[in-house]
Amino acid sequence: MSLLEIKDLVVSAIKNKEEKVDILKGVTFSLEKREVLGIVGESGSGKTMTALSIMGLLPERVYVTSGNILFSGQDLITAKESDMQKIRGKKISMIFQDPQSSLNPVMSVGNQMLEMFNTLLPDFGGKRKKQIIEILRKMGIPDPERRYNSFPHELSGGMNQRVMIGMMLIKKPKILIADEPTTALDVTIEKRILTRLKELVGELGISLVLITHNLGLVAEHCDRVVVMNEGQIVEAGDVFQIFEAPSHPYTRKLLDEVPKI
Amino acid sequence: MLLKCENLKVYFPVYGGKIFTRKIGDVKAVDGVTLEIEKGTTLGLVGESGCGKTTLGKTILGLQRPTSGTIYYEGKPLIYDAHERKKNGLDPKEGKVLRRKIQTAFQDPSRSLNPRMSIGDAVAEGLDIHKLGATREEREERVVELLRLVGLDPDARKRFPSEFSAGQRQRVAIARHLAPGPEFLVLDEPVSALDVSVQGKILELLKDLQQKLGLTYLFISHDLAVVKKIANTVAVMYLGKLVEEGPAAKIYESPMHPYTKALLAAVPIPDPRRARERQDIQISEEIPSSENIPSGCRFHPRCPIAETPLCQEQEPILEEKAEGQLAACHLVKNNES
Ligand SMILES: Nc1ncnc2c1ncn2[C@@H]1O[C@H](COP(=O)(O)OP(=O)(O)OP(=O)(O)O)[C@@H](O)[C@H]1O
Ligand SMILES: Nc1ncnc2c1ncn2[C@@H]1O[C@H](COP(=O)(O)OP(=O)(O)OP(=O)(O)O)[C@@H](O)[C@H]1O
Ligand code: SF4
Ligand SMILES: [Mg+2]
Ligand SMILES: [Mg+2]
Repeated sequence: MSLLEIKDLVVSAIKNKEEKVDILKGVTFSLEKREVLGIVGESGSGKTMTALSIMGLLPERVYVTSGNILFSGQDLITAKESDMQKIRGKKISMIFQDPQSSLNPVMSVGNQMLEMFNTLLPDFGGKRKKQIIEILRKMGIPDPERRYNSFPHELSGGMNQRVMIGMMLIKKPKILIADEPTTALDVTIEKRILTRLKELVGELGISLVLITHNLGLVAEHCDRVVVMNEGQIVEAGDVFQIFEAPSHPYTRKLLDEVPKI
Repeated sequence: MLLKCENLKVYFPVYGGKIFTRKIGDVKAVDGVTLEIEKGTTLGLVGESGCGKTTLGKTILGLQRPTSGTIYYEGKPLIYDAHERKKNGLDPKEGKVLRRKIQTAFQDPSRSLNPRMSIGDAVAEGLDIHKLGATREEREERVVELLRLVGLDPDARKRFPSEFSAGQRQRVAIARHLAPGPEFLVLDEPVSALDVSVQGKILELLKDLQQKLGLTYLFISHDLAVVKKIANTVAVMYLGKLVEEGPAAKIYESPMHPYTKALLAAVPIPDPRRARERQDIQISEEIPSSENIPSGCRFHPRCPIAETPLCQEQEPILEEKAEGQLAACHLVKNNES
């Protein structure tokens, strides 16, 4: 059994009383333990909606119409909200596409990380602050001791994005879904952050879902790839197969569009 | 020269002590930047996260006060505040005009639109802020015109942002910033959140608008591939200072500064085999802080070719090394003679 199995997932948005549109039109894929899975596709193809369905966090007026999302055998679609909250807290976490709005603007980033730490485990030795500073350092944030007390608006866009990722190093979920986690980062830091996330996969055996429009990142970091187009999966497979022998014309088109320097 | 920054510095004070009231230092976000942008052209400003790009953009927009140095717009000091203008012997009323002429599109397009406001109203708000579009009809007409300009169907103006794709939302945001009829736009990572094909379309739109309306852009991005598509001139920033500047074609073909070379070498390759075989980036991971800027050349702790003691002791100046191409590095030879 796979760690996560998504079967024929249909998600629809209600436009008005009579009208409804399908955003996801029967999505099927699975995620194995210790795997880095890339989800690629153009803007609007349904990548974020797929992730939000797994998290049980679909926006207003958007619903799962049919299908299953099985996590270790448990169907998340029919799960109670209280169970989902537990799953979101510890088992499946997501880094949202828009990191700035997921951070609290009136609380220092250190305190936000501390709060997250404390909801997971009470602090016995009083070592938390040190651990958080270490995480900030790992994320390549200069002067982590001082940045601990900085507010999100005092950090650059890319630094906030790294704070969000750092929080996941605290949370250590079983599955981490990262939705365009490095769009604000330059190539050298991006590489370093993804390497850190992959260390989590190696050390803790978590599974990583990397949602991105950057095929270069997928080539460098993913084991398997799912290609989405207009709410459907058009191709899925091993990273070498997708890049070297893409079978779907849409995948070929995406590959042709990669900008070259 | 439409816009010019002269030795611009923007520092943020850092407070320490028990109750955070004692000033213990400065974050030198922008630390002596001199640059010029010609009318109708695009300057691409690149550099790693936290190097000061947004701060520079905000200072041009008057959202951040420079610590020292001057920005000139059409040859005159760029000051928005009426009192400040008076003090400097400038017409106090002109400040408002400048606010209209210089516009922005910020990082994070999803947040620049209010989810409860129809896109037509969002664009119209760009007019209202500057009290343009006197009658209702005029306003409506201008909104239709703007939406058409950015390639959206004007019939969609009653619809809400959530009904549009990310790329379409970015078009709306652009229309909104074009509403006051600007001359100069600070574009801070305008396409970073978009996928490649949408990115391409938005960049085409920006180029098209530049042609039609004679706009000038400061285009901020950490993505060298994106900048390549739009910039005439590229400036590479490192820890608050420019380390290389020159015509885009030259920077990409023959980068001079070791930092620019490292940036170009780290671009992900869309080929899983080559990517896995590739040697790691040669620059060190430790990122110095803009509060504690290294002595001599600020890049020396990470530079693969640094020479001691020269690079640790002397700060290289940004000077012309080949025709039109400037670099701040002791070891880049001058090709001029
Ligand atoms: N709140 C909503 N109500 C109705 N439709 C929505 C809503 N949010 C998104 N959609 C639609 O669902 C589709 C899929 O959107 P989704 O956000 O999953 O795309 P994506 O692949 O993540 O794109 P991007 O790369 O731009 O983030 C789009 O057509 C979008 O317009
Ligand atoms: N209001 C502020 N108060 C204190 N420090 C600030 C403030 N705004 C920015 N800084 C600091 O100035 C430096 C430069 O930040 P800036 O946002 O200009 O970087 P950037 O180059 O735009 O980075 P990114 O690519 O991540 O957006 C950072 O160290 C940041 O923490
Ligand atoms: S001056 Fe020295 S340290 Fe600085 S970039 Fe050149 S070689 Fe490297
Ligand atoms: Mg998305
Ligand atoms: Mg920025």
